[in-house]
Amino acid sequence: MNRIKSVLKEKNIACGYLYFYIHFITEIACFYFLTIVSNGSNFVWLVPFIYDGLAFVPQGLIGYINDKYPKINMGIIGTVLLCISMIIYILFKSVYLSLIIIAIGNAFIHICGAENTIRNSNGKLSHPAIFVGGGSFGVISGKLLASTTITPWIIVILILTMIPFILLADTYKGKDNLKFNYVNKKINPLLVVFLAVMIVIVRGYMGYGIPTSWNKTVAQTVYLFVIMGIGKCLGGILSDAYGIRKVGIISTLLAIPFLCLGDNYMVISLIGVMMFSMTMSITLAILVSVLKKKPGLAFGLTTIGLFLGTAPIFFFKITSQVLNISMLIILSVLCSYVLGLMLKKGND
Amino acid sequence: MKFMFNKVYYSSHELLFYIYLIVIISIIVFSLYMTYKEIKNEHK
Repeated sequence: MNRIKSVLKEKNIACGYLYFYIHFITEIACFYFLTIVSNGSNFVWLVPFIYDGLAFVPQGLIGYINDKYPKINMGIIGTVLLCISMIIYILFKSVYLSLIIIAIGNAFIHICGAENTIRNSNGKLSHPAIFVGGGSFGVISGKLLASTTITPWIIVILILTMIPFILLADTYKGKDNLKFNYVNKKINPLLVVFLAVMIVIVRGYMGYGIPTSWNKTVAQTVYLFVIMGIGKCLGGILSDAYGIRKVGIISTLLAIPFLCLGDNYMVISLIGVMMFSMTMSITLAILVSVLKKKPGLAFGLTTIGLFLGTAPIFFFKITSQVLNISMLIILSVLCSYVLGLMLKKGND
Repeated sequence: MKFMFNKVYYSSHELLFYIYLIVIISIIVFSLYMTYKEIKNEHK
């Protein structure tokens, strides 16, 4: 417990908290918009598919540009794009134009958060993990807000509240502390990148196959997203406290029985989901360890992996529960083995 | 509105969807190439 407390008092951790809020509001805006638009659309699956592609994939390109020109304030650009998108939707009801702008705005803010938290983390995972965790809370809040009758202008005001947070987080800029060194140096770095992206793809695909028959009410969906967010934050915090290799392997393996047996039992399933979500920051740390000078590009690779993992869901789903659970077990064991292989011993 | 390309007619929605796919694939290829280049430079 003392180790966790000291991790939460780590230098520059406030940068992670600031981006937690920024990420939270960004996802509220995006999922408020997506839920409203998808409800009235004939192409229910098309809207999220276009959004996923335009929000996740360009992060590779934007990350690369931000690595090269770190003085560009991607956060402010993203905030302006989110505002423009909401205003276009409110005034002109142009769904696809606002969808494209909001997705790209989201990508800009993600890169800004990733770049700042990684550069200020002094080689720790907690900072980017706390930033990433804020998203899950925002997704469910945005969906819930969309079911109310609030005016969309409230969302514009919420987006504008991010500006002081971005400016404050920017005061941490300039310290190039890229001390990420978690990868086994005996393995070819190209192979490390390939394996890390494959883990993200596999975990992204598996995320949709997790059996959750218990999830029937709004409150249960809220629990699911809150636990996901906590899991993402905990992945980084526990890795800093007890070692990335230990946490990566144990969380991936321990998640299996909870996920498989929790189909009808919410608490058991939620424990599994929490452990399942912990790998997120670990794969990011692996990629940053290889691409030390390009943290934005490294983050972009994880989001590209997420898109490639979730894109097949739009076209086909595995309906057989037996096949689903078998895949969950086999792929989790494989991911855990690969993580053990890639992560350097002695970081514990 | 319909557009002709390579003697085949496409609706504007179809055309936009194909443009979207081309853009997405191009960015993925670009990111992978830059990663390859970066690794070659960093791990000489």
